[in-house]
Amino acid sequence: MNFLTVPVVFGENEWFILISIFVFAILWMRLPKRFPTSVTLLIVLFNSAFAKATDYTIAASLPYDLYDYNDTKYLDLFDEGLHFLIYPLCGYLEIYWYDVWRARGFSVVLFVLLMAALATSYEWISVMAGVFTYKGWKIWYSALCYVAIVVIDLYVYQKILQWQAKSREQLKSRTL
Amino acid sequence: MKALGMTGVLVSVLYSVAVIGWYRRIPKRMLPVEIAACWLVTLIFLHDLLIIPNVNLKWITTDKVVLHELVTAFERLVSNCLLSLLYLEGQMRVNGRLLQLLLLLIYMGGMTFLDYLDDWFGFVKHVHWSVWWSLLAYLGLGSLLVGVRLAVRRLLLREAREL
Repeated sequence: MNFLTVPVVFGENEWFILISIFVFAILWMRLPKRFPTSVTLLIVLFNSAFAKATDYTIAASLPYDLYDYNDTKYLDLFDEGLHFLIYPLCGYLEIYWYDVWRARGFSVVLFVLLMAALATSYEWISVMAGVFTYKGWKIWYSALCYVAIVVIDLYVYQKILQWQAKSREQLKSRTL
Repeated sequence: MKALGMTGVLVSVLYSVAVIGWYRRIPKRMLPVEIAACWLVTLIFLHDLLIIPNVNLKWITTDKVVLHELVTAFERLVSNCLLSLLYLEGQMRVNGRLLQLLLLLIYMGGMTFLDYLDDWFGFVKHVHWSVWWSLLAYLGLGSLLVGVRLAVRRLLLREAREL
C-alpha cells in the first residue's frame, strides 16, 4: 500500500509504455507547430482529464471493476504515465491529423472509423504487452468506446477553437 | 441508512442545481480558455485526490452503490468544478491580499464541508483521513487554480501580441 506504487517487476508493459511515450513525444516534437499554445494546452488537458475520469469510473468507481492497468490493481507510476503523457499525446496527434486532413462530410466519418481502428489496434497490442488486464471487458467494447471518444474529441476541438477566438475577442475589447 | 442516502442524493441534486444556476447567472470575468483550463485542472486534481486515497491507500472508501457513485461523480465532474470557477471569479473581483486570502479560506472550508457532507450521507467514508488533509489539499487546489488562471491569461496576452 503506497501513495503511488512502483512496478512489481519492470517487464514488457513498462517497456511498452516507455517506448510509446518516446515515439509519441518524438512525433510531437518533429511535427511543425500547427496550433496556438493555448489550443494545444486545452487539447492536452482535455485528453488527460477525460481519460482519468472515464478510467476511474469504469475500472474502479462503479461496482463493476472491468479492467486493471499494469502489474497491480492499484494506481502506479506507469498508470499516471498513461494518463498524463500517452493519452494527451495521442489526443494531440489525432487532432493534428484531423486538422491536416481537413476532413469534411463523409471523410469525417472515415476519419472517425480510421482513428477508432488505430486506437483499438494500439490497445490490442498493449493488452498483449500486459498494460491492460481485462476482467470482463472485451476489445470490441473498446472499439465502440473509441468511436464515441474520437467524435467527442473532434467536437471538443471545435469548441476549443471557438473558445480561443472568443477569448481573443474579449481580451482585445478589454484592452482597447 | 437508505433514507439518509436518498436525502443525500436530494441534497446533492439541490447543491448542483444551485451552483449551476449561480454560475450561469453571474457575469463572467474569466475568458473562455481560462474557464476551460481551470475546469480541466480541477477535474484532474479532484480525481487524483480521490483515486490515490481510495484505490491505493484505502483511506477513503466508497459504498459502491451505483446511484451514490453517479451523484459523487457528477459533483466531481461538474458541481465542484463550477464551485472552483466561482471561487476564481470571486478572486478576480476582490482587491487586496487579505480579502483574497479570506476567499481562499472560505473555498477551502466549503470544499472540505462538501467532502464531509458526502461522508455523513454515507457516499464515501473517510477511514484514515483527517479534516486537515482535506483543508491542505484544497489550499493546494485553490492556489494552483489561481496560478493556472494567471498563466493562461499571460499566454493569451502573448498570443494576442504575436498576432
